Amino acid sequence: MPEQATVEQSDIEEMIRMLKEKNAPLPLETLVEAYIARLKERVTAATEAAENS
Amino acid sequence: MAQDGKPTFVGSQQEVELAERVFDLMLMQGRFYSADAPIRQSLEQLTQFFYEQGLHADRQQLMALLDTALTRNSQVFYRDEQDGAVYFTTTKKGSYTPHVQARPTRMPQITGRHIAGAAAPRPPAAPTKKPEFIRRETVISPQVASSLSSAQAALPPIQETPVITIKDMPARVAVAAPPTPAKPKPAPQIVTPQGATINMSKSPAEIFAKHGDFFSELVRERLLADGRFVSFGDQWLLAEQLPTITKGELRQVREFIETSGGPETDETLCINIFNKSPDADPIFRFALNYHLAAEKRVFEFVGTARQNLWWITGTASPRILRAPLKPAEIGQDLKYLEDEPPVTRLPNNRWVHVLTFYEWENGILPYSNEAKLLLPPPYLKEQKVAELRFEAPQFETSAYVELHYPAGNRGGWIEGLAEILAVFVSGAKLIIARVPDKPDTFSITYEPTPVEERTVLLYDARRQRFVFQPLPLNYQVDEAFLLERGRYGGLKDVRRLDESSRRKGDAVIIFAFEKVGTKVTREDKTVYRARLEDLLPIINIEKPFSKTSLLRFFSTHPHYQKDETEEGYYIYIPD
Repeated sequence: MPEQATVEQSDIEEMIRMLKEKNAPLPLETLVEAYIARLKERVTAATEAAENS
Repeated sequence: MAQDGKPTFVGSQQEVELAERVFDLMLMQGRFYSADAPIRQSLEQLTQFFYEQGLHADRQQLMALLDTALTRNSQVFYRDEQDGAVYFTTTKKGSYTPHVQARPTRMPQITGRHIAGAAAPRPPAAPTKKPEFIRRETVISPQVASSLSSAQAALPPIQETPVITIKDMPARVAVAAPPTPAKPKPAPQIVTPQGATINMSKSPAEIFAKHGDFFSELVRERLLADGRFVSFGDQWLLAEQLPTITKGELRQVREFIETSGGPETDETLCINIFNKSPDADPIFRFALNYHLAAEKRVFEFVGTARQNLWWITGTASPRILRAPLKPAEIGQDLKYLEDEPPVTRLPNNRWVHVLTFYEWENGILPYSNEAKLLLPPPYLKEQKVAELRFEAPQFETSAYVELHYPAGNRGGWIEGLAEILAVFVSGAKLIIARVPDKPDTFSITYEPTPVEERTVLLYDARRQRFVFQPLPLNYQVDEAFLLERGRYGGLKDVRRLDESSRRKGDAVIIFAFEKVGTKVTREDKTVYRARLEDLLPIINIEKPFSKTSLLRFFSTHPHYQKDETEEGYYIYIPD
């Protein structure tokens, strides 16, 4: 069963970290791509776990 | 093979994208074929199809790009040449290996008949007869083209790329047997609230390219609900990083803009008022825009995604040459634009527009569906106006204009063009295009023609009557919209409709029927009969109507009827 796309609190914390580190405004696209990368990691891990179980 | 049923493509991002599009196209054409039946297309036909879809401005370059992209993906597309023409073959399963045959035979062309599921023709008996030429429209069927065009429209055209020379082309790969498919692993997927499945196996950039709208909205909504973030346009910052701008400083900004006499960029404001370099201090630049946007009663954003321009709310910019009609009237007149048929692309990124008398007199152009493809969309939500610059290089003149976005019950328009449009007449074919390297700047040009004197309709404001005047025209015109004496002599010395009647579509249309139509008797009643093509230009003197909107108007007003005795004619039945 595929996962739902949700923005987790940890995703928000990562965006805050990115903005602090950059110390400049960031375009939404940058934040979204970072979110997609994190979501992909989560979904891939979940898929592999389901396959191995 | 990827989990979504598509083969995995290789090459640069552009090549992968092209190969995917071609595969999608060929899948659609072979959708009634069995999984391993060959689906074949010539490079020439593929090029023509994608060229007409506006994928690339240069046909030869597009052909080279397609050839390179498909050749690099030889595991999916089998390349062969016949009579100097290049063909690519694949199957629904995503690979094709030609059968070894005693002698070469021609593969059947994909035609509409094949798509309809009819059996493929038998190979011709030797000697092989040359195939007849097949019209392109039948090779890529209208149904397929239509169903694909909407998807194509959503994709941006490929940027200009350097010409690919032969030495840049990868060596043609010999036809290899398709790779033995490994047992597929389940691809990571997510589902959207709407139930759509998104394959997450590609790179984040590729996923964003395909599903950016969905993910952007998801993240944006989450950030908007979190008070730790602030935004201006598509830029985001932490609220704790936002510098304060005092009321006194905002007052200084207002005075600066008022004194300058026109909208100012955030860059100018940063440097001149705050002595800050916007590039060196992007947080301050963001803060300035953020605070100005928050003061809606004082400051109005009139910029675009490319430059942040600020003006004073509720004040008419003196840089703009105003139309005789009020903005509310023009917006009302142009509301029909929002119901016009959609346009998916602009050939050569040029908007070709036939000027009407109404536009000429008011110094405006309509924000039509074509204009929407060329001009910048609103950058901020609820943005009403953007200030742009229009140049007329053939007259060495330019003008600041206001692009009024559609809102509520009003259509949009571009105001401030009177000086540029003054040299034209109704019917002039204008070409509007972006000026490269100048943000938010557009050119108005015309195709020159030998000078020809034409006697056209003008309005003599002193005598308050329509007059005809011979004018030397040296530009292309749409004859249908040229208000020439030969067709519209009935308007000579005619007074205009009074101010209140001019605002009513019905009065304007009746006026046109009376001036250009002929009186005939129908069922014992005297009616006016006129050709739609003759009505449109004269109606467009006082009130803008497209052919579609005029026909819609006729259909809702029973005293206008189609004249069934002759195509293209309509009648007006006076009460």
